[in-house]
Amino acid sequence: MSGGQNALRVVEIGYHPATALCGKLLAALGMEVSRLDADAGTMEASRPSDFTDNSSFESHRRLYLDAGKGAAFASTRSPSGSAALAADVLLASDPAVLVGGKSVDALRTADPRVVVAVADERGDSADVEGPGIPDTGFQAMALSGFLSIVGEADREPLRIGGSQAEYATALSLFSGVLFALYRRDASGTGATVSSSALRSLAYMDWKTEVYHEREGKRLVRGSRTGPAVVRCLDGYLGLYYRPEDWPAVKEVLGLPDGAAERFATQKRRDDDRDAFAAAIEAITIAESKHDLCSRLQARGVPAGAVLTVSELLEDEQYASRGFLQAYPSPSGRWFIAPAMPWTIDGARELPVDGVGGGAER
Amino acid sequence: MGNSGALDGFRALDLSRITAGGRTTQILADFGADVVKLESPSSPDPFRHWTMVTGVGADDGATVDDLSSTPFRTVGRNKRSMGVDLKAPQAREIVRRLVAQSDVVIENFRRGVLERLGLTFEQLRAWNPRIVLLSLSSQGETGPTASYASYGVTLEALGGLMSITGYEGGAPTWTTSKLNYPDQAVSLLAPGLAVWGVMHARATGHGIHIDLAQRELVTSLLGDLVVDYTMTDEVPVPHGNRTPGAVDFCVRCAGENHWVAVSLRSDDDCARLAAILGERDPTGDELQRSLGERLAARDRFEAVRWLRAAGIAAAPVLAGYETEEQFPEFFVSVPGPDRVENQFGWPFTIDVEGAATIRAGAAHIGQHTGEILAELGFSAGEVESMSDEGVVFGAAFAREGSE
Repeated sequence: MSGGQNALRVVEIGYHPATALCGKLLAALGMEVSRLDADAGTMEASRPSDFTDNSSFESHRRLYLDAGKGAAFASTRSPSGSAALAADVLLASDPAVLVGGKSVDALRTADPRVVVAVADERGDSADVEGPGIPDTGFQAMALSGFLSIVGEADREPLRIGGSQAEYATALSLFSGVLFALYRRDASGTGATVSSSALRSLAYMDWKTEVYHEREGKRLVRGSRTGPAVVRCLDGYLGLYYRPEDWPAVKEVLGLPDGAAERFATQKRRDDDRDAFAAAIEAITIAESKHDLCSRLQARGVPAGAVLTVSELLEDEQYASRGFLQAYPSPSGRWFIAPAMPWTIDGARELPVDGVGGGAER
Repeated sequence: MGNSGALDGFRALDLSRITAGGRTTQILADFGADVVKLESPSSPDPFRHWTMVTGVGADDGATVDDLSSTPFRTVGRNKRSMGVDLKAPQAREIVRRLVAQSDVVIENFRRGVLERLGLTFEQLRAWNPRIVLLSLSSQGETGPTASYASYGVTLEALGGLMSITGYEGGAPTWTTSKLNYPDQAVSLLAPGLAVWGVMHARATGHGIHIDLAQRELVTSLLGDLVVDYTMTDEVPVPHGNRTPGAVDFCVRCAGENHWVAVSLRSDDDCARLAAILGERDPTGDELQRSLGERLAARDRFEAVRWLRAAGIAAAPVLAGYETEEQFPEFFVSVPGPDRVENQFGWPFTIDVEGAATIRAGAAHIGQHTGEILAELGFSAGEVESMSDEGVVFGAAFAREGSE
């Protein structure tokens, strides 16, 4: 299953963040990943006025998604591009895409062993009427329930930062591909795996649906009970605690007796939320989020310092585990990117003896 | 429980708890894996009595048993349940036989618990050289914060996600226990890792220990922003719903908490929206404000149709409980303790008939103890003895069924 003579071959058809991240994950497991671009090397043009010039961000995103891949890029019109279609796994962002004049369905017919994975924004609802098919990740967040559940109750629904719609799709496709490969080992035949941002995000927002279906409860965004996000000297702290942690929280923060009495129970802390948060912040505003996090965690309280992206690069935990690694860019400048979020037998690299599992062709 | 499905023949021993582990093993089970969930009745999966989200639980006056928890009835489906006191000396032989016949053991304990239970990877591999151990740790097995306690918000904070999620100029925002994004992301990735690990072990004859660090996964999903920062020295901060290269926003419509999500991807999109609003050369903020005024008294679905007719990407902001009505094809029927429940199916499909199915609802603790002990080769007498001594629980189900 790891890289080598018998490594499984994965081809990304065209560029899309979802299939690119899926390809990156499969590459990390030893598969040979390449990409066919209709026009290799082109980038989306930047857009003026209200639109931030996105070309540098998009180029940096591609650096991330291609880091660690031994990706070869070719045009679908080139001989090497056509040859690259002899793959174990094809990743496509559009079920209607043509490769060398063939649809993905035709490719599967030509090779019954191939596993095709499609990030299909039309999902399974191509013909449904109603709210329609999402055009963008933001739209998928809107239709899936994801957007509705994040933010404050009396304010605009809020997206989660980053490219989560696309990357959630990537994670779904990744697992689907592995399931299909497992099945192929037994059956000898491939399959088509489908997912979409709509389906993946709606799957992740499952609790909103089940609580309504079973208990008639309508979960609304925001939280006025329990944990709080409080300001510190150097940023913010996610003060997450369970009711049984409260004595430790009081002690670590040095909460004055008056406030401790006023907010002695969870109910009091929730009922007078604003005053509670203010009382906490009066203390935390003079302290470092890192110190508070360490002291609370030492007492078993699951608090977390809100780390910025720059602080992640300085984080001792990440440094000790070699999680953030340096890669060379095509321009020669080095950049830092996260490695895969897993270890195998304690190491970031694949086991040396992991050869085999490549499909007979 | 007769299984087929895409993962026919895949056997998982589930020691995990709550969402990240439960949802991971649920997808495996949905696609045909034989998942045996092992719990001690003195320390059952906390998800069986989960009150964190809605507060419903032992104090609400309703009958409460180990299937009263709404979320557990979702993550518990399609699995078999064994009740075993892992601290009892006699339990070791039970676990040894389970490991010997399993492909993968999945856990998400705090670090150190497996060691205290005597279930280190070295011990598991001694029982089964091809066993895969999939650990869903919080921070990873090593490092200065490996022992940190964490829930979703801890990981969102330490992973960097909160630093880029929030209203313009506002405080960092977390997804709350209602969504708990890190757990959901783990539950999409981990099943694939489990299957890959088993395929690797079968091909090589050697088991492996895969440790998926949940905090590292959160940061991985911001990897593009990390690269962008190292190339530009610009630290990303929250900008509400705006992202590079797009003007995304929501406007309120008629009705409680009814909104429309709008996406403008180009100057042409802006021009089209400006035209139907009668605006001249507006900025993105002005467009949002003007559109909000226009749609404040309109039904959101009607507003979406109007915008789309003008070529503007728009969608109603649906609540999660509205997706069932709008996308019924995503949902499946699952037997519940007192009625059939409609639950979300799976995050991906495989175009093979029967690849994923619902075979059973969530089980009571130990509901399958008797049948599994029999599969492991324990005699009826041994089962009765262990049951009487409190080593196993739920074996009475099998005895009653056989009488």
